[in-house]
Amino acid sequence: MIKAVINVPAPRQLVFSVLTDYPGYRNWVPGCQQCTVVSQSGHSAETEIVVSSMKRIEMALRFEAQPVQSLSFRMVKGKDVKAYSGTYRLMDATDGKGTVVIAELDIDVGMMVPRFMVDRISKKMLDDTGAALRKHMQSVRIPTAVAAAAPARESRPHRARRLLRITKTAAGYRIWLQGETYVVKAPGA
Amino acid sequence: MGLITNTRKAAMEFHCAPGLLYDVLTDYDGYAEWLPQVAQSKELAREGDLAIAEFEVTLPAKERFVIECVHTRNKMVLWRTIGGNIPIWQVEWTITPAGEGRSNVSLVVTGKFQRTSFVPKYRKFLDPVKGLKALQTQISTFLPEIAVTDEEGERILELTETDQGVVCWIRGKKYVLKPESEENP
Repeated sequence: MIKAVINVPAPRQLVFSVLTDYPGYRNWVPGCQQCTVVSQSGHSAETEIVVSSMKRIEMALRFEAQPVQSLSFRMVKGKDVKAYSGTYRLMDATDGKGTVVIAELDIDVGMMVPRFMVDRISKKMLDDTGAALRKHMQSVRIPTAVAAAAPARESRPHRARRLLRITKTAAGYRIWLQGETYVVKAPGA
Repeated sequence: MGLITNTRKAAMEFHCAPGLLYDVLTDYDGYAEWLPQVAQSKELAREGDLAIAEFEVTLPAKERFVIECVHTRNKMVLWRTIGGNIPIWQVEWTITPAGEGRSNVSLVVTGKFQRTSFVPKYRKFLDPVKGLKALQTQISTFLPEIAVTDEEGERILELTETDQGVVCWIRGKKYVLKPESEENP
């Protein structure tokens, strides 16, 4: 399982709507030539997708969405790879400036290909998809209501924290500065 | 996950309650203040017991990596690295109470094979003993009374950062310092 973190400068609801617009994948997912919804029920959808990158892959992908939280997918039919699955998990950015997407991808090519090579290809696919998503979001118009709903950063209580203490002792001065103690000896001490 | 190469561990007793340790370890914006070689740290997102943070380290070249963090309040903080060239796969801080006002912290750093695994500076990054000592120093800034139990003499000057501003004690008198912009808008 390969992971990547994608910072998307757009509200979470909008990112979720782009990720669940399966026919729209043709417009931004690198190498996606076709994505057709075959059936849909509630938050689940089955699609037929054709992706052409290092090789042409045709498969049926089943998507399961948890609204505005996550989107997982897995291959249910296909001959070009043995297994293909992953997840997009969405979180509000702490700085209130968009969405952090944690993307996971697991591919089993079903051939005698070293794991590190498959991982490297998977990582590149995730990175390329992340860059494409960020670029695509720039062209998507953000509805005013969605933009206004962007959450503010949760404030956490701060603890009192000592910065400096200077103590005069018989031997001189003792200076405590952010966890480190220094001693300044008096002349003749 | 890459090939695991090694596991390094250390433990230390702290003169504070588990809550303070947990707060410091989950303050991802604050790591740059105390964890050796971390130049910048930033929390990217947080939801419940999961957080995503980004670190920039100097080893000596700048290197960025993202960590996925799972917490159990006052008990455990676990990171896993996502991306980057740091030869570390997982970092686990475990906090256990050790009697009134005391806690034990164990730090387990699990490595992974990377091309940087052969570079000494990268290999030494996040040494568990140094990491725990650094944590102890950071904790002491929140516990003024503990850090100076052996201290004698006259307290001349003390500065403490609080929610009200910087509190300054000079020869037994207390002053609260406010940022200049608040006093003179």
